[in-house]
Amino acid sequence: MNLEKIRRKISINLLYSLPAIIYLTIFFYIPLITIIVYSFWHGEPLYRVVRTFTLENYVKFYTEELSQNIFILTNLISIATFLVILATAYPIAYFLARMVKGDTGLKIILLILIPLEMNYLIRVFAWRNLLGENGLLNSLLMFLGLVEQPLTIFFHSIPAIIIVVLHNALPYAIIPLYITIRSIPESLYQAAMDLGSNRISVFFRVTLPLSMPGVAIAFLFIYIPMMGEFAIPALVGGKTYLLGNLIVRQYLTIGNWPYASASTISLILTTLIVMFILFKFLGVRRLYE
Amino acid sequence: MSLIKLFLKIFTSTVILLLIYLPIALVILFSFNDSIYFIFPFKNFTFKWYERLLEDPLFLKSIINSIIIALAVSAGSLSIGIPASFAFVRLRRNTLYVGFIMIPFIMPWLVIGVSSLVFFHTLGIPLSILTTVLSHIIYSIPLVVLIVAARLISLNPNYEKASMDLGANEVQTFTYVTFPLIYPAISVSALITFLWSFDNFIITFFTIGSEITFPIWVWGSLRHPTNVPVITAASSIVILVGSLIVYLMETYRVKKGIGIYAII
Repeated sequence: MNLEKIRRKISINLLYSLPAIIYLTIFFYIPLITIIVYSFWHGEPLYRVVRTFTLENYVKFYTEELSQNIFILTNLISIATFLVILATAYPIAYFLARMVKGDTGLKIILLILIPLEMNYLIRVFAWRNLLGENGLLNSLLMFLGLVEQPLTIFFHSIPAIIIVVLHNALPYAIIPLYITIRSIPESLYQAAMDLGSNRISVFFRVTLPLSMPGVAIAFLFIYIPMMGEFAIPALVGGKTYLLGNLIVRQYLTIGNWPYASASTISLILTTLIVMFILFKFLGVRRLYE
Repeated sequence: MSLIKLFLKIFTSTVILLLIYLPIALVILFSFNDSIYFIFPFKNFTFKWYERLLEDPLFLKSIINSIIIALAVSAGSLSIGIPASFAFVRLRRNTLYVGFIMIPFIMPWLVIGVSSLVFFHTLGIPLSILTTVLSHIIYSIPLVVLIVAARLISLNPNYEKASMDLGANEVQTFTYVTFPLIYPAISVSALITFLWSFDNFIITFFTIGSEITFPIWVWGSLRHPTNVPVITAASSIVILVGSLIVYLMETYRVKKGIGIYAII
């Protein structure tokens, strides 16, 4: 009877999620399988595909110096971006969660969220004009007499990419950090103080460890989109060529779909491995319970 | 202590003003500037970029297309996502199920875009507004499930039990008890999927074919320097309307106590 009950429960849940399961299977999982199949075929430029099994696309992706460098550079930039954003977002989240009374913190987060409604290409474009050679930043620095020639480091460079992503992704780091810091009970702080900790050790022994799930979520929201980003490097990155640019170029310009698919699969695998590590070791799950 | 607090206060306000608001304020400011360059000093005040914008048939078409796509995505993902969120609440400790629904949410958009492109191409389906809608819904389903399920989890199950005890059947319980309680979450997820779809560039880029949407129009215009002031005018309109919508939605959400977590 108990088994019958469980079966009934499962079948109702299955019925409810049937549309979602069918939809995602057809339009997400089957396309994924399609590109997995493509990645094992032999491909040539201009969309020519020979349907024979081969591992050459993966071998090419992982052994060629160019794609190796792109893969490593993309990872490094994504991690560097995350660290810059974390260093900016953590103090803000801490301030809003611990030092502001009531729901003022939420209201300030709302203020940060509103302008993000503007299309992100437009915001990238705004930064381009701000950081560019004749941009506001350079004219200000020259006006103040700090530099004589316009600085080129902020334009068409990796720092420009990081600044633009910082602008774009800041709320996605602040919100999870705010929520985790906010959910640490006040009694823990008091207990730590009573037991003789000073403020610095309270921060490192209570706040920081307990906010790690928030850090992990922030990492997820910054690292993963950044791994597939191609518009920001194309618009402000100058010669910077990331994994996303490689994939777009292979799919749309060169047309070697099997190789492009192998690169995409490598991107997916990286994403899944990172996700697995975060969920396994940093207790992200706790947030949902 | 107060020194740290002062420092953090200054830091927070500087970051918000300089990093978040300054570039946007500049875009709006320069949309009234009578020059195709984006540099100081400011020349004459003008409305001509707005006039030029409203004469551009592609711009109007792109906005209309974006609205059509966003409405379809919103409707489609709600009708698929709401039932799934009921199951999601009960199965949320089932890793396989949660993974199945949530993997599209954690994939880079590029992956959704290229896999849809390859899929439609292989089946011989021509790229159009329809294929864009279909690929947007992939990401919107987990978005809706997250928002609605968060609301369902926070509901007190006794309401439903009480309604059943008082003689309502399952349909009546849903119509008179459950639905009104989750209605705020449903309306918020409708708006969020609409705004997300309207704004999405990366997935659209692969699945739109030769049609145009607003982000695609911006991307195309960015390549023509003479078009730059027209983009600033378009952006100013979109940001003012968009900010108003988001502000109303967020105040509604805070009022109804729907978890802010759901937005991401």
